[in-house]
Amino acid sequence: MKRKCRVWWPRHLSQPHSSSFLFGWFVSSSSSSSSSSSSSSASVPIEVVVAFSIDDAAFSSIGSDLEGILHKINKRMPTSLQDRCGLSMLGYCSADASSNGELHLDRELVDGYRQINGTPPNSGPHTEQQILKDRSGYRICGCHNVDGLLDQYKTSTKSNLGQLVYGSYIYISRNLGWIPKLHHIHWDMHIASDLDLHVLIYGTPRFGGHHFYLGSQHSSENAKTISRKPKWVEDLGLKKSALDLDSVILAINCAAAATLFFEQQVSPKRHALWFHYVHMYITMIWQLLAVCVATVSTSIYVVLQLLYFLLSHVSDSFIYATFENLFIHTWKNIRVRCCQILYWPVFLQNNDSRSESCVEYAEKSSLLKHSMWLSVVIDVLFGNLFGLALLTHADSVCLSIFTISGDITNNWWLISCARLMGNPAGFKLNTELAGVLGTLSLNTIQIWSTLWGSMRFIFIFFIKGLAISGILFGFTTPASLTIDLITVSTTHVSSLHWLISLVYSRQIQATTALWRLFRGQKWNPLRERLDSYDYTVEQHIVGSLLFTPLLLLLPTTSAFYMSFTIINMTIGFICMLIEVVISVIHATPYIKIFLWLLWPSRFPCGIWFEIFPIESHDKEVVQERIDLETTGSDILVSCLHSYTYNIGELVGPDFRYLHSAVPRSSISSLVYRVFSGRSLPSPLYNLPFVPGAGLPPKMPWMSIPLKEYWFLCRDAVFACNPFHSHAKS
Amino acid sequence: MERAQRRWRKVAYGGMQPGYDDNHTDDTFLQEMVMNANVVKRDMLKVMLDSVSISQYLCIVALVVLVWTHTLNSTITENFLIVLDITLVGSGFFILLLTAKMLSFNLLLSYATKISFFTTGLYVLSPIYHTLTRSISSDSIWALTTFLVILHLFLHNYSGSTIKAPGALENPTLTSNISLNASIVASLLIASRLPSRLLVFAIILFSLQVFLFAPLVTYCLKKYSFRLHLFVSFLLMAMTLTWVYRLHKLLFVVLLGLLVFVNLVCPYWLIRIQEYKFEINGPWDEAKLCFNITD
Repeated sequence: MKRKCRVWWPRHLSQPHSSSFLFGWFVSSSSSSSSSSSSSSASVPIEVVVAFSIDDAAFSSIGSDLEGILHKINKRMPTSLQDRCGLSMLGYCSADASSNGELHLDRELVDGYRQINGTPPNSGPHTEQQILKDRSGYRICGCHNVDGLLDQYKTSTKSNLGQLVYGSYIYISRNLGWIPKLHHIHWDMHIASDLDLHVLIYGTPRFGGHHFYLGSQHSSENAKTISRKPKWVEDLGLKKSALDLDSVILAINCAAAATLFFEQQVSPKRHALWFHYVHMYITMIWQLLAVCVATVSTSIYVVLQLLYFLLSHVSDSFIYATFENLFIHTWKNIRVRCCQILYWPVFLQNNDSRSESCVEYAEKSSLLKHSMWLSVVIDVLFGNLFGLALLTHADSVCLSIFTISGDITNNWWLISCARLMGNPAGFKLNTELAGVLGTLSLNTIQIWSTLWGSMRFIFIFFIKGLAISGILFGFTTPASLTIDLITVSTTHVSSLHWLISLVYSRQIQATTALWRLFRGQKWNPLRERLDSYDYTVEQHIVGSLLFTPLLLLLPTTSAFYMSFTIINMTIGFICMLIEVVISVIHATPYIKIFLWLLWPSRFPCGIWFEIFPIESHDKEVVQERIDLETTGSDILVSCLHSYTYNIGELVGPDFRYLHSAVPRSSISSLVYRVFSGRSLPSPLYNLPFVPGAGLPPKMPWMSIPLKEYWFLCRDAVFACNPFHSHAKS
Repeated sequence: MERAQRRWRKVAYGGMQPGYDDNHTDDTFLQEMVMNANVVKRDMLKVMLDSVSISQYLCIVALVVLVWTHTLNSTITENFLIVLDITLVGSGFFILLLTAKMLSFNLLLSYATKISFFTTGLYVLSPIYHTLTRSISSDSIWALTTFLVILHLFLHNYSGSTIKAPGALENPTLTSNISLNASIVASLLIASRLPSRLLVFAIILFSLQVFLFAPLVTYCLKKYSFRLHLFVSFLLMAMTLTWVYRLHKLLFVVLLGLLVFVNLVCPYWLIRIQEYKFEINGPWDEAKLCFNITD
């Protein structure tokens, strides 16, 4: 019965070299580890992930330390990999004598074996004992003790050598190089030699180069937040896939780290002298940079703490409360900006030693580390551009704002109010009521524009202040200040709108209630349904006496309501656009986009296999000679590649909140609310958090001592040193 | 063979009875059928006398429309209207006092308070009604009013009265509510065409008095004495016809034709087609529950 075996072979081992001991991981799916019979586990493939190899000399020099070294390396691997499999010695692979991959077998040994046992060595699949020789003359066998080396290893390790592979190198082609051809495998007291071999060649993932990632079906990142199904439904959907590539890909991603740790344990590298000098020079520069950044950051921290201290004293007062309610967006934005300024070193410093081992985790943590300070820097950059542009054109901006607002107010709005008091477009407006409403709105507009006109001379200072705040704090601060200023300066519009919508909605409600009265029904607000209702004749008469004027006055009220709603909604729409821009600036993952533009291979989203056909002509030649060879074992060679994201998929998840902020059904409910006179909420403003800023809603104010903060900043910046990991260990 | 069989029994259980078909009927079939059980035997004279109340109400409505027309043409002044209102109230009360059997002082007092509240409310609301439809063209108002008056006449409950005499049992039906609504809205629409507020108040008061109380008064009168009822009806018809004749000839002809139709043609027609009435009742009907059991 053939067993399937998959060997994941790093590309750098495809160079020709001597026989070597292979180190890596045996990844088995859980079902095969629990079963003991060979028949049921025969169908499950054995995954052998090879990380690195050491030659015989190095192996003998390690000696008895091997188990300790492997144990130390294992402890530095990610916990999920440690739980499933540990780094171990995989087996031995010998280099072949001939260059075309033929197997050389020593005739003497075969004869010797025949003499001893009297039977040809090839007697059965499970009790077969292969005696093969390599060029150097070592005997390699599954059951026999190998010539001292394995002996040493076996005696030094206390554990059972459960799994071992034995094979030899085969040359495939020029671009593929040498791959191992496994002869047999020791697996849980069985020897399996009838193997269906599949060799997958992968390029070792390194940080800053590429790595492998399985893709969305195994990740839980996307779309779980919006899903409303109970958990057990989702668990049903997660079928246990027969192909457990999670652990394999994790092991592959850790291969480079494992190799590095092993080399460090076994033989610490000695660098050249010039390398030391360069290293020291760069380290000094980084230290200097870290100190500068820390000083600047600490000075800002001092200023922020002072302001916070001052504000905490006036926080109970009435003025503070009104200020906070009036300038809501600015307040939120300032809070977010302060939290970003306070917490950027905390995010940057976030180094997890476990994440050093797996390239995928290291990449993800680096994305997280650099996201916050980069977002602040880019925001400040945009703000500088905006602020400088505004400063240079302050006067013309001021003038144009005045002309536009004067134009809108006088030519459009006043005239529309005056026209409404007449009989525009054949509307059946009641003159008295239209007169009252029109006079009220006209007076309000006139009073308000007189008030704002008197503040004309200090408006230029507003604009300049806006520009300076943009330069200092980034683009989002003047944007939110603009929203708040627009809201404050159009208070008359919103208050008029509120008043007229009150009248309109009450009128609509009264009319519908009276209409229901005539049909003999009454609205039950508790149960939200219509109940039948016996009413007396007096109620009926009074109801119909009131119904007629309410119904006939409705066109007047609705005409005024519609015009005010249009104006109000336009202003609200402008404010909402600015809010969307602010949230997009906060939510865009700048570090991801920047890295994707430079190195797109750092963002894999799936894997694919490139299959190479190989000819097995050499096997038949061997078959003719000696039938020692295991019959019919096939080798399949493939190469592991990865897909990369395109820009849409990359930034898609970060903008998913926009979908939830504006749900589809809100259009019809919006129309209903407009026509029934209820108020319209601003959707983004009601979001419980600032999306994308990477911050939870209520981050506590940081109040650590200055010196500690300075050290924190300096250590965080210094940890970004490219030579840091070398220096650390 | 027949002797061996059992007699066929009309039961709902027991399954097939041997020897008989499944749909077998015997000679007691339809024995319990009752024909025309609820049909009232009508007499020509009685029907004509009963139709007098319909034409009486028609004349009352026509009189109200007349008053409206004259007020809109400024033929009637507001003082006249107010005097008319007070006269109507007084005479209505007078007739009620004479004819009603179960009147007490408390009831009268409650009526008086209701009427005073009503009047005050109307007086307060009349400026609103004054300018209510100023922007709507007159043609629309006339058309709407005509439609509403016809609707009111069509759906009116001629058998009783909306404002109940004390002790009446029926609840107002949907159609009587609609007719009342139509009449009130029509009077409001007409009132909004008038030039002064006092006129508005007076005309609304007048219309509402007539529409609400006229059925009650005529009902009480009819119950008191049938001859008086007939006399008043003919008097009303004569008055209406005279004044309509003075106003507009065509309308006079229409009204006359309508009265003749209601009083003469319709009863004859009813009697004629009465003989074709064929109602079947039997034990197969659904049971009707009787709630209206009065002691």
